[in-house]
Amino acid sequence: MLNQRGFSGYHRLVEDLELLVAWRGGDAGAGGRLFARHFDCIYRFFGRKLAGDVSDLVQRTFLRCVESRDAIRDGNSVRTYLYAIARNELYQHFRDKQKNQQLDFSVSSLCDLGESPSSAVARRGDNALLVQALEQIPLDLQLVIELHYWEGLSGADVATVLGIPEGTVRSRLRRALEQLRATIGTLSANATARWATVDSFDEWARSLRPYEAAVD
Amino acid sequence: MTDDLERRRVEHKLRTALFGTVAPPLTVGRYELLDRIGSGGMSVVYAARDPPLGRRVALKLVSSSIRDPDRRRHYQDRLLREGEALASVAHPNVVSVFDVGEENGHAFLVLELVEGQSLGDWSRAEQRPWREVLEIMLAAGEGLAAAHAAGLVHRDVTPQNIVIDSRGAVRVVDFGLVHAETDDASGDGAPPELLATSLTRTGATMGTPPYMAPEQWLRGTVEARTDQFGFSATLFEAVHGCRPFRGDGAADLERAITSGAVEPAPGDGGAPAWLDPIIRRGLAVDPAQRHPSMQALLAGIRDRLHSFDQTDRAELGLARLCALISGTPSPAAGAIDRAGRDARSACDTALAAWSDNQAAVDLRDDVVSVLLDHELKRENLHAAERLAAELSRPDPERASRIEALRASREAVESRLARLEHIDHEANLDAEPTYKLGLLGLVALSQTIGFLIFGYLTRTGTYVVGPFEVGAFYGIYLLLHGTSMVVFRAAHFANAVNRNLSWQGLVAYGCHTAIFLTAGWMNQPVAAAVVASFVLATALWLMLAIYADPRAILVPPVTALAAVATILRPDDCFEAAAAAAAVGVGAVALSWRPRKRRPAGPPQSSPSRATTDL
Repeated sequence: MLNQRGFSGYHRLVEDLELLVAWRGGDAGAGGRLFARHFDCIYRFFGRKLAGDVSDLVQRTFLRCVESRDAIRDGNSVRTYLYAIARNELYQHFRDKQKNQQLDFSVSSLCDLGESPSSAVARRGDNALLVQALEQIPLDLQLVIELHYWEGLSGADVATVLGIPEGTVRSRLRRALEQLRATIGTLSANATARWATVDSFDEWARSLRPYEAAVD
Repeated sequence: MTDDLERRRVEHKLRTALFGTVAPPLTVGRYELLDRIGSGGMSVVYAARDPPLGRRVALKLVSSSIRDPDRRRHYQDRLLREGEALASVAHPNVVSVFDVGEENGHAFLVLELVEGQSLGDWSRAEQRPWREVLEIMLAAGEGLAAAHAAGLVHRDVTPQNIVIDSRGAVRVVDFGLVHAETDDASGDGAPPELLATSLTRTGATMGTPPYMAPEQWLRGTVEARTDQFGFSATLFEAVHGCRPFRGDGAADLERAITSGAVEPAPGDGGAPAWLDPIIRRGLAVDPAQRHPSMQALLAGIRDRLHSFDQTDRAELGLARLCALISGTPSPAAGAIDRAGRDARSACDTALAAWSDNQAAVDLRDDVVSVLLDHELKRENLHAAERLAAELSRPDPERASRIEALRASREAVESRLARLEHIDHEANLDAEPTYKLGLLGLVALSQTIGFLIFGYLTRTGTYVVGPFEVGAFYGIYLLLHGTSMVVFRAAHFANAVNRNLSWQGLVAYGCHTAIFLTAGWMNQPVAAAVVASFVLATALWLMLAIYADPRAILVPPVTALAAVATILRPDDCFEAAAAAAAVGVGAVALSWRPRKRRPAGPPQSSPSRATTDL
């Protein structure tokens, strides 16, 4: 049985890796356990970006994970690895849908892509505002904010998911916050007042739960 | 619940797909969830299996995005109301409802699963012929009309809510905004702020903005004609491939719709021009200006389609008619008449269905013109005149040809009339009893004369002198004159009769005068008889020439009788008998059935066979 330390991040990480190796080796039971651990994250990841049925994308993400012979790089968790695959799948999905393989996600936002999963949602207050604003900034930037603030990924993990050097994560996060702030400014003057500086966003953002049941 | 439900459904599905795990199916009520097939503003729809029957159904639940308990309750009520509404409509063009249920306090609706594509996807998939689009829209319109008949208003008629299944059957779906017509404008019980927010959002409560009627934007009274607006906007988009109102954002769109700024129909599509006024009327800002009902709108389209078909039939008929007339050297009149009648009746049916069908009017004129040319070629004046009267517009060129034909026809007819008049005046048999009477009178008088004179001479009681003969002739003169007065119609029927009668009168007068003069001058009767014979012979010769050649027999016989009377007075009785026989013979010979010309003025009856051919 696992002792108290077994629930620690490190042990979980190792266990994930073991489960993945076992699954790749043909152990469906191990696959099932791994799936149970990460299904929610990946489901949420797609569910926030697409209004339709996301089961295919989730399935492809897990299949790619198990079928790939890539070793998981040092220090990276299976979760980060899954996010990286999910991001690729998401981008490919948009490229196929728009029939444009050159789609630039540092420019296109969810709104630009015609996806607005929140549009029907009758949210109110700052949560709604934040969701709406996130859908209007470029997808790359939205991902940085989302993964960092609500999925709790470290800078290194975010760098892996987005496929960028770790050093640029910080500057990208800053840029994302600036754009988000500007967008929120156009949507509502009040909210901008509550979030006076980029630094205070940290606190504001963490106080909000734009995606209910976001973090376990 | 549904958010969780969706998550659990995806998880369940992927577990089965990835690991082949056989887990108990995920159910809502007794229904096994399959795929998610759609999510609208407030609801999410799953394909599901109904285990006892094994049939596939659609399961509709309130969307997970509605979290506020009050609102959830409101939308659940609305879901139930949709079920109720669908149950009351029951029409082949309206999606059917099977069941409503509740699980964990969440309502769900079980509907017929329509597996096909929405009208929007269907028309985007490929260029559809307008005719096909109209058939789909007519079917959808029937479904809406059925809802209206049940007192319901759909309120969200869009290309997305008309579904064509794999067999081509059409159904109106998503009665999520259904509204009883008797409710007041905001009577759907929604919290006011909800209506306020929904108006500015896409996929919102009140409808789908590009298809929302002005009264929906302005929150006026919603009625059946509100659906007519949505239907017309959908129809516009389906046939033209673009939306009837344009606007960036809700405010622009609202301005365009409430001011009735309908985009001009793009002329490139094959959509017929007649459709545009019908659609535009359906898009009128004021509901009262729209069609009186959905049925009226559909009937308008259907009538025009029918009119179109009939015009096509007429076009075919015209082609057949032209082929008949130009193809065969001597076309059968019956076949041409039939073809012409068919083509014209098709035009008439087309015009009865839609009186403004200019194509049918023109086509009818074409048919009539072809027939008219044909009749003119055959110089059939009356048929041509009848056809010319049928033309919708005067045709000066053909009118002048008809005029020319009429003039030449009249010239021929007047000449014919003149000839007939001449013929009639010269016809001794115009009055069939006339000749008989005339000859009979002559024969009678001669016979009686000879008999009387013969009898008196034979008995020797009295010698006949010129005075007596003159007196007898005077009696004949009187008889003839009386006959001319009594039977004047026969005597004056025509020129020949008139002349003969007068000549008879003059002849008797001459005979009387001859004998009386002989008596006065104391001449013997023989001299008077000779003079009289000369005169009578002249008269009979004339009769033989003008009337009947057989009259030539009369003078020799009379001569014999006269000679006998003079030379041998004793035998005058026999002579009289012979003369009488000649007279009777003449009468008998002239008594024969002769073909009569019909009586009456010769210029009558213009449509005689000769004039028509």
